Amino acid sequence: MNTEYSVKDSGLQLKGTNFGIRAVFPDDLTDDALLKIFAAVPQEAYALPIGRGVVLDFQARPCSERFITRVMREVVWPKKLKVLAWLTSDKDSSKRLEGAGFCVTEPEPDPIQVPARAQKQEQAGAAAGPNVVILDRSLRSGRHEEHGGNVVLVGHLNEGAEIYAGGSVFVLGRLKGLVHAGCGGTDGVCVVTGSFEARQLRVGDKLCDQFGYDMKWWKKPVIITLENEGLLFREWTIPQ
Amino acid sequence: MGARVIVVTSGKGGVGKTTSTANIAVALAKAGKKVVAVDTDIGLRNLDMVMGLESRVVYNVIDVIEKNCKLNQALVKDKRVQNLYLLPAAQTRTKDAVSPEQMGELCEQMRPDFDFVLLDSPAGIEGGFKNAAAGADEALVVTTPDPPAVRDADRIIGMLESMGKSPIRLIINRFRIAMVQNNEMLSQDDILDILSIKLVGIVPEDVNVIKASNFGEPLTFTPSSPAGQAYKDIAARLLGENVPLLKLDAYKSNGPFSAFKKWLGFLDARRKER
Repeated sequence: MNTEYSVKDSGLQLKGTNFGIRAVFPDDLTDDALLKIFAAVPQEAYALPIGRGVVLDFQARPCSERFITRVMREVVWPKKLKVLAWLTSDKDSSKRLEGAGFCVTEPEPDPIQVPARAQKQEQAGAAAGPNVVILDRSLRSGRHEEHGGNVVLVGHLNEGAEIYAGGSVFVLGRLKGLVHAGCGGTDGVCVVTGSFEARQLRVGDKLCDQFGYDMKWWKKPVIITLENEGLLFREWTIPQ
Repeated sequence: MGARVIVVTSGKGGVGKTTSTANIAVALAKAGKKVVAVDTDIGLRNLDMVMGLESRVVYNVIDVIEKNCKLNQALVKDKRVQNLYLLPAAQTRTKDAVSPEQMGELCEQMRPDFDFVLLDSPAGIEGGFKNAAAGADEALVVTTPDPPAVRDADRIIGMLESMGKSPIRLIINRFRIAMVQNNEMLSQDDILDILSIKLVGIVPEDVNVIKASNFGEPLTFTPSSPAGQAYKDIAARLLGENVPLLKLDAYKSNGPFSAFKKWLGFLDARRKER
């Protein structure tokens, strides 16, 4: 009997997801082989992505009570793994796991890391309609607005005022304050303004603070997007 | 009916709140109104010095609030003009010694006896400002034509709006027309565009203001200087009079080449007409 088990050649897959690690076990290994391979995975492998825990995906493998107990005793407890779900397409096994109080469904992915207040607004907005907030007045210095979706400001964003949005930001007047569009790292968002006069701009996870009076787009209507890891300015031609 | 209670504030320090309070108070009193100027800058009292009344201070605003004396005992009457009073701040206490509710009660106590209560606010947006603004109906926001002061004024205006103060009027202080013409200073239009509130007056830069503060003699006692005249006009506008803004061009520097420049401008205009 071959007792040498190689993690590399075993077919065990560890996938990074936005809830943590998903461990996918091959169907063709014996229980003993699977447990040894599982136990041989270094502890560091589970710590790589920042997440909530581990999902064990046994695919079509039947999971007996003895096997589940062994997984717990030989791997989960010694490695102090936080198991989010036990997944198997074998119905009896799934019932057995559920009956033992384990979670047998896919965990919900973590939402984009937007500020807590913005998340609440987003939830409120989802019930009310499109995920857009329209602010119909200028924001004075010291004002701070957060929203998980898009923000349209019908007015000026004065120096010292801030908008943080999970989506795009449209400032129809002058943009002098701070805008962070795509807050939480969302791509595909833009910043549009009737007059660009800001000293700093944040889009997604990029920050640029090299703006000044001498830049080409200063005090011009512009559309700013994130392209090739940099901010791309284009003139905003306002339709007549 | 009672007094109009107006807070004079700015956000940024050193823009001329106290000078404005003293001068407008004198101008209103000279216009026949009964006025009290209240120094709410607890711990950093200086309105008494600008008004030239420091030697006569006995009690202060905290004494009144803590009922160590009656309001009439703490009021310092200005002998140079009828109906002008000062309620000085305490110099040995801090802004924590008074609450917004207490300031509100104090203003209500003064309201029946005066036409105007002018509250000289400390700089900043913390407790001192909130105390000063608590009892006020209206606000005068003072700014100088430089971006930091305008940004702070913008912040203060937002706070005053959220507190329900109305109207909120703007005084642009230490204005230098020559610098504006050389694009070295924010213009009146630039400032109004940012702050979006009603302008009540522009006070030109004037060395007489420093002299007046040093001697405790507000300029509006003898408004022959540009700044004195500007403050007198602000007081008139507060009384509802329609007074045009000062022609600040009159105060710009007339260098030896100014006539020549005007002549060149005339030629240039003629050339464009053709």
